[in-house]
Amino acid sequence: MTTNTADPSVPELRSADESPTAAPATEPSSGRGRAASASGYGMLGVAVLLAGWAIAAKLLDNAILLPTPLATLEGFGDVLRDGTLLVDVAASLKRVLSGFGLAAVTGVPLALLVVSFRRLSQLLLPVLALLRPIPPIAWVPIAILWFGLGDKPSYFVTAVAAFFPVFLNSLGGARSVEAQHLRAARCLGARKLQLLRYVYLPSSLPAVWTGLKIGLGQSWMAVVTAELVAAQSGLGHMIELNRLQLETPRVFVGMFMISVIGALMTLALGAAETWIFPWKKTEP
Amino acid sequence: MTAAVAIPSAATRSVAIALQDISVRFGKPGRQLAALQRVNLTIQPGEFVSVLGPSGSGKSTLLNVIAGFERPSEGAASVDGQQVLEPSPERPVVFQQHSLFPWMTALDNVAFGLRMTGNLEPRERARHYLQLVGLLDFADRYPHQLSGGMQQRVGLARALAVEPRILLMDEPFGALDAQTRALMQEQLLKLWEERRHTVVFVTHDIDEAIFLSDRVVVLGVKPNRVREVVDVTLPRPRSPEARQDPSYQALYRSLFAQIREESSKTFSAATANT
Repeated sequence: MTTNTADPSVPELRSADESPTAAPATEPSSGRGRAASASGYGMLGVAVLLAGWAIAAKLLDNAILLPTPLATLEGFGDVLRDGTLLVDVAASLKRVLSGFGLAAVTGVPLALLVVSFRRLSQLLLPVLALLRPIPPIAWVPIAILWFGLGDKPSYFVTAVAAFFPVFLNSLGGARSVEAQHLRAARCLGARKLQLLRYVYLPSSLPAVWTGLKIGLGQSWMAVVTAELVAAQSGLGHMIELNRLQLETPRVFVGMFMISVIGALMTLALGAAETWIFPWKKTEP
Repeated sequence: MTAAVAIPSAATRSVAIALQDISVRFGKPGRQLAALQRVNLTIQPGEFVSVLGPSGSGKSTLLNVIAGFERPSEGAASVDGQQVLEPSPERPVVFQQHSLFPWMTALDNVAFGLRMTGNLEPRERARHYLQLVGLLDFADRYPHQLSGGMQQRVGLARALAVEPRILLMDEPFGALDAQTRALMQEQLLKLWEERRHTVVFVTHDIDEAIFLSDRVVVLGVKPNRVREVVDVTLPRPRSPEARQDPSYQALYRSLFAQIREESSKTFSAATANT
């Protein structure tokens, strides 16, 4: 066993040391260079994917099984021009945001309540543990039976998909509240509900936020699943419709929209993070 | 209005804190660990009492009982004649470290207790107390942007802000470097001279206990009980020069010998086990 003094992680640890100065340590120029080269590699990866796709489409030479990137772009132009793409995107977004919103306004408070009331957690956690393994897609048939076709089954399925990540992450966050913060708050006069509002909630917010991020992603994936069978509009419905009509380029357009919008959501929530948590240390 | 108002009413009572036959045991029946055994102690209003003991002597447990965080297995703690059943802003605690709310600025941390107790202008009062510990310029900083010493001063201001008559301090300077610690002790004494809270101060530092206190309660280990209570007769107000006083040095030697004897009990037991 040797003590390695040239450990590359040491300087980073040192720079993260607590200091009385407000400004976070200025990012070393190498960090920015690293970020630039990372995004460069990212672009390269996407380019390779596109190139591989173009070559494969050329070799396969079957427009129905695998349309070329160019044909897909044309398909995109078509649905953009006739307005159907925007209608479908809007329909999917509306369902996701409603279902996700429903999961957020139930999942977060429920997690906080479960942490503060023992009986409630004993009552509820086994039930939730039983429901959790059922994937959102397995809820689709019963959702159609209960709510018919249209928006409602999608609200339900997206809410179910988002609920578990939101609830479980919030629960984990609330459970990892520092005992010392609770004691400090109690000896300064905080009562049970004030502890919830002023200690449990803010202290678990980072975990809640992680849950919301994952939940939104799950919701977005679930909406497409639900729309494949249970809706007359939306990106899932569009994909299914075009598959039946052998309009494969449009199937690809639908898939791309799902991918791009999903990625944008993740990106937006990530960007909002530093704004929502000013007390978090800015990490390099 | 300042905290000075609280003093006369406190002085009219003769006992601020009374511990009667306090025992605290942890763990399941059969395999219990006695954190404290039959501790008796009364503390006068306005008195500064240190609880000194080696690690494992139950000194923090003692403080937690007075704070209301911990229920004694036997005996009772009372404050101003009332049995302690739960924590109260009448006796806030200053913790060793990392007790500030990281999601609040220094100002909001200090204002917290004021908000909880329904103060009508929490921010104004919080500013006053931040100024008292010399940190008004740092009001908008978050805890992670403050040094360890600054964080402890905010913690002190947060406790003072609810204008308690009793202040409980659990090794508040234990994590600080020697220089900062000395300055903090002097600042605490200065604030105490003006306000005369009843203070229970837990520490394992002999010098700190003597320099700050009117009385030092020495806790022993195996069993964890009060070994001795000594009066500190050094004149007040005290300055760092008090350490040159012969009575300081005699007291230091005596306490050092006692703490050493107590520490060696656990030390030799641990060595024997290996």
